[in-house]
Order: sequence, then structure tokens, then C-alpha cells
Amino acid sequence: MADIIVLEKMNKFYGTYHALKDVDLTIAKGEKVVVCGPSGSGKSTMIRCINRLEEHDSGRIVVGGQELTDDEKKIDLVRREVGMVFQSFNLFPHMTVLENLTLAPRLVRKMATGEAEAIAMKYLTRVRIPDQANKYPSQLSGGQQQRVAIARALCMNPEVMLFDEPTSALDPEMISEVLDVMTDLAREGMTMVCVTHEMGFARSVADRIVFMDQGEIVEVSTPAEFFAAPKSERARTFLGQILAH
Amino acid sequence: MSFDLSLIAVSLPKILQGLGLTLNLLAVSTLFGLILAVGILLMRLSRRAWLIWPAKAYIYFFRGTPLLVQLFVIYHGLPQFGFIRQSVLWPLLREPYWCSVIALSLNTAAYVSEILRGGVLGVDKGLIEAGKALGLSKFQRTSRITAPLAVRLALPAYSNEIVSMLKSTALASTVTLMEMTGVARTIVADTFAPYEIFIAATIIYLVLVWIIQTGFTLVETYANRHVRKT
Amino acid sequence: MKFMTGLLSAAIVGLAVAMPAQAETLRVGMECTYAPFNYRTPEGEMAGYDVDVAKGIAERIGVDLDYVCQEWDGMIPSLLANKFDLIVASMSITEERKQKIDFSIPYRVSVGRILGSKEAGLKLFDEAGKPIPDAFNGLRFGVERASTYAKWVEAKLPGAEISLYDGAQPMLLDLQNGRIDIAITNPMKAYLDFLSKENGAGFEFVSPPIDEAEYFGPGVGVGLRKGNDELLVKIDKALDEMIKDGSLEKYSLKYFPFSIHPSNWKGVGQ
Ligand SMILES: Nc1ncnc2c1ncn2[C@@H]1O[C@H](COP(=O)(O)OP(=O)(O)O)[C@@H](O)[C@H]1O
Ligand SMILES: [Mg+2]
Repeated sequence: MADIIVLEKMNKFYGTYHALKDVDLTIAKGEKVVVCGPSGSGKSTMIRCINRLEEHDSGRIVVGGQELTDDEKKIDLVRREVGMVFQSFNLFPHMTVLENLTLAPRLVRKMATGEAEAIAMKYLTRVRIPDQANKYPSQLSGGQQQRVAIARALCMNPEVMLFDEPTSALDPEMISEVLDVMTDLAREGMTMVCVTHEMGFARSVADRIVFMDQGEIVEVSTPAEFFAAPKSERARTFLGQILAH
Repeated sequence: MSFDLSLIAVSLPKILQGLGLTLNLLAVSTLFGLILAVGILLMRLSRRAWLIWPAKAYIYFFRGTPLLVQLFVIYHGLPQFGFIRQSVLWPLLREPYWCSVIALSLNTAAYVSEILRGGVLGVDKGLIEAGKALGLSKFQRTSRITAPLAVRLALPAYSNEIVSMLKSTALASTVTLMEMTGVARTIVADTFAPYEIFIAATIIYLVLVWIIQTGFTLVETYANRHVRKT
Repeated sequence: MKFMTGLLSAAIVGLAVAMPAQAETLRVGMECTYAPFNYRTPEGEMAGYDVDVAKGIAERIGVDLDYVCQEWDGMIPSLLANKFDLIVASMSITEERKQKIDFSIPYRVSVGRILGSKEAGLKLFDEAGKPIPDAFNGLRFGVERASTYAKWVEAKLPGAEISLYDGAQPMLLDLQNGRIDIAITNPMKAYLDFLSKENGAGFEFVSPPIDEAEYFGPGVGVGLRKGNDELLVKIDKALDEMIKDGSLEKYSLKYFPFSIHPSNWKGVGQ
């Protein structure tokens, strides 16, 4: 299977703070990877480097065959093939749900409005809120907003989907409606890199679990291995804390 | 001191003869000022020191000195230089109207660019990142996300600036223009009745301010229709 | 007590008898700071057109002069409070003032004159000294807001393109800068502040003195308390003589290159 994301000896500094240390990670097409680790361990930084919301300082990042450099054109090419879902939804507040979904297909893919709307409605149906198309984000619940955000990313028909703690900002009763949508997506074969502490989701969906601590990838295991017998002491401690909840 | 109500009634229509020029100064200066403000804003937000520095100096200068002084420098000061009077700009600078428009525009541009900058800084960075993640170009992000949201955030302060500009147009009366205050001052000099005449002028200004504020409230309500009312 | 009263009476009679022996003294109120009309020279001498006129009057009616320096705002109240006997302070004769005090015939005219650039070669008035309205077409006309000049321009030249100013100084500045083509103002002021200076070198009067009393008032007169008709008649007579014998003309030309006195007057209260 083709590797769609390759990180090689990737380092990232915030000023003098060494946020990512020699990160190596290869993700194949169709693979589902869950990234976990304590707060501040560099999970967000790592996946934000994949679509260049952060610039890495050394090493290589290759996404869909394009190496990420200062070349703006290539960055745009990569970004339109990589969808991203944020913890805080980041829906455009001044646009209706439908406008949020059709904006990028129209502007980036140069799609006609009618076509873009048809696709938008298809994905809104997939995330189970077709009836909210003409509302503004502020009129939706958190769970509904996050599902709109997923549909918005999907409307670009991306090769990969990145999720950065998509359920952390949600009230508990809304978490499952978002995880269900993500599980469906995984079943359909989408390549997914997902930062989450939802261990149930990780167990049932992930092909591999990446455990990070202090800017390093400490351990990469299958869910079965990871939950049964973490290789590292740090992962064991982390799991102990997470599962104690 | 007797107070003559009928004098107010008589002077209102006379002062209203200056309304056209007052609104003209307001509209033209606001338009030029806005265009200039966007230019200064772009300089100010760029990452290049040689663009940021002049923009900052401009803003500091025009916000840091009285508008009346700026108007006098343009109106009385510039013609002191022979080359200004020989220059192609002289047909413009010769006119009190254009001197007033230039002073008002330059002044408001400094304030408006800061008001807009406040709006831009107020836009949630997460939204810009969402735009990047969707592959929108810098121009598309600016025009579809940053600008419309920044404008919405800036509207209340901008409406205050328009009101402030309306009041500033009165300074044009110091360079011979017969806008509302110029007319009022002339009537006062004739009648020696400052209370009645300036009260009449005050009434008209207050009505104009009410119209401007109501208009902006409507625009703001429309622009913020997406905001949930709690 | 009786003795005392008698002594006092005797003293008063004695004084009254002694008085006519020496010349009477008239006290004259003026600002003493209003050059070139009434001011102190660096040597401390009183000088100026008003002072010359006051001296001329004193000479003709045979009195001595005492100068009392008084700020403008308190000029009429001080006269009424008997701090001095005459105002000779460039005070214009107005109806309002005439309700409180009497005025002599004018000893100086109130006139307006129009200034323009020498180069433009303007001919705005006909031989009879009447304005030619068409000649003002296309000329920007500077006028002081609500001044008597403004009234005259509105009445005589209704089509003129007028710019209103709050004072002569900014108006003359704009004349110099070319924002306006002509300006009307007090010729004495224009001469002192502008034409006689470097700034005004390229400019001249482009009109005769415009002295229509209907607009500009009768002029400047000597003020005195009401009820001094005898003195008033003497002063008017003295001024009349000074106009006729050329004294006022002589005083004018000491300070200005043109005359500022009335050349023919038609009597008091005109
Ligand atoms: N923009 C930034 N500037 C400076 N330090 C940052 C910035 N973003 C993140 N960091 C630091 O980098 C480390 C990793 O952050 P992050 O990737 O957000 O962690 P995680 O997502 O695993 O909680 C943290 O210590 C954080 O404080
Ligand atoms: Mg994070």
C-alpha cells in the first residue's frame, strides 16, 4: 500500500523550546492512526505540521508525494487533499451551514454553486443533519457543529482526514454522535490521523496507536498490544490515568 | 438675556442651506478616508518594517495632532511655499473645499485604519486556520473570512467615527466654507443671538447623528443576523 | 460752627474768582496703545492722529489737555463717571453709543477700500466712483463676516462670488496666496498691516474710498457727556475749522499716504 504521509526525522522548535524531536512516522493509504499522549506532548503540533499550519524546522514531511517546503503552490496542493477537524469546530460564523460547506469547493475546486450544494447536501445527510443546511453555526449544538465541520472537510473530497481532539470541547452527551460519524468514515476507507483520548474509539477503529510524550514518539503499537501491554513505562502511566476516569 | 424661540424657527431653514455642503464633506471625506485607511491598514499588517514604520508614523501623527491644526497647516501653511502655488496641486489646494476634504480624509484615515485593525485582530485565528486547511489562498481567506468578520467587529467603532466626522465638518467653517456651522456663525455675527442660532444648529446636528446611529444599528443587526440572541 | 461755615464759603468764593485767571484743563480719555491713532512714543510723548486732533481742538478753544489712559471696555463708563471730559479715541459714532453720550461731527471717516493685485490691472469702478458690477464677474471677493463691508457688497454686488472671513488677517493671507482675487476692508488697517509690508508689495487699492454713511456709519467723533452743549458746539466749530484749513489733511498724511478725514461734512447728526 502506498504511503500517503511520511515524516522523517522531523524537528520543530518554538523559539528555543524543542516541541518535536526526531519524529519518524509513515502512514499508509487507508490507514487509521490514533495519536495519544499527555497534554503538551506535541500531538497537535505534529498533525498541524502535516498540513503546514506549523512549519517544521528540520527533517522531511511528504504528503501525497509532495514534500512540504516554502513553496506556497505545493502547500495549497497538499492542503486541498488533507481535511482537518479542529477541537473548537472553527465554522465560519457569518456563513450558513451550506455556505460553510460550499465555500472551498467553489473557490478552490472551482465547482459550480449547484454542484457544490448537491455535494454539500450529500455530506450533510451522511453526518445526519441535512435539515440544518440553512442555519447559522451559532444556532446549532456543539455536536451538530462538529459534524458540520467534518462534512465541510469531506466536501473537498480529501485523501486524508486529520482530527485534533474533535470531541474534547463537547458536552458528554454529544460525543457519541461525532464518534459515530467518524466510525462510519473509517469504515468507508478514509485515511485518518486522529488525536483523541477516546480509547473506546481507538480500540475499535485504529489500525495503530501512536503514543507521544515530551515531543517524542515513544511507542507505536496496534490497539490490542497497546491496551493489553504497553511497551513503555510512560504509556502505562498515561493509560492508568486515562482509564481511571 | 431674553430668549427668542421664534429666532430658532427662523434660522433653522437658513442653516439647512448648509446641509448639502455638510453632507457632501462628510460623504466625500469618509469615502476617501476609507480607501486610504485600507491602504494604511495593509501596510500596518504587512510583515515588512519599511511598510509598517511609515504607517505607524502616519497614524501617530494624525491621531496625535488636532484636526484644526491639520486643516490650518494644509490651508494656511502649504501656500507659504512658492513651489506649492506653482504645482499641479494648486488648483486643488487653492480651494477651501478641497483643503477641508483633504484634512478630514487624512485625519479619519488614521482612525479608521486603527478601527479596522482592531477588527482584524479580533477575528478568531482558528477561522483563518480552518480556511488554510481547506486550501483557500491568502487572498480568499482575507476576502471571505478576515475582512467580513473584521468589518462586523469594527462597525460599532466605525459608526462612532462617522458621527465624529460629522461634527468635524464644522471646522470647514474656519476656512470660509458655508456649511451648516459657517451659515450659523454668519447669522450669529449678524444677529448677535448666539444661543438661538447655535441651538438651531445643534438640533440639526442631533437629528443627523440620530439618523446615522439608527442606520448603523440597522446595518449591524443585519450583519450580525448569524449571532445567536441569548 | 458759624465761623467755620463762613470760612469755607470765603474759600470757595476765592477759588471761583481765581479760576478764570488760568486756562481751563480738559481731560481726554484714550487707550494710549492704539498706534497710529493714540499711543506713546518711546520717549513717552503722546502721539497719533487722535492726539493731534485733540491738541488742535484744545488750541482753538483755548484749554489745556490732560491725557487719561483708559482701556477700551471702560471708555464710556469712565466718561460718565467723570474720570475725564472727552473721548478722543477713534470711537465710531453709532446709534447705540449716542443713547449714552454725545458725539461731535466726525473727524475721521469710516470707509472701505478694495485691494487687489497690481498685476491684474483691475478696473472695477467707473469715473464717477460707482462699482461696475460686470467687472466683478469671476472674481473671488474676500469679505469679513457680518461686517459693514459685507452689507455693502451684498447690496451693491449681489452676484459677487464671496468668501467670508472671521478677520482681516486671514483674509489678507488668502489674498496674498491667490485664493481670493480682491478683498474689501478698512484701508488704514490694510495699509498698516499689509500694503506697507513686504507681503503686500504686489497689491494696491483697486477702488476709491467707499464712504457711504448708510453702510459705514458717519465715522469717528469726539465723545462727551450729555448736557455739555456749549462745549459740544465749540468742539464742532473747531473741527470744522480744522477740516477747512487743511489741518486734518495734514495730520492724516503724517500717518497714511491718503487722507482719512471727512472732506466735506454736512453738520452734526448726519
Ligand atoms: N505557538 C506556540 N508557541 C510556543 N509554544 C507552543 C506553541 N504551540 C505549542 N507550544 C508548546 O509546544 C508543546 C506542544 O504543544 P501541543 O502540540 O499543542 O501539545 P498537545 O497537543 O500534545 O497538547 C507545548 O509545551 C506547548 O506549550
Ligand atoms: Mg493539542
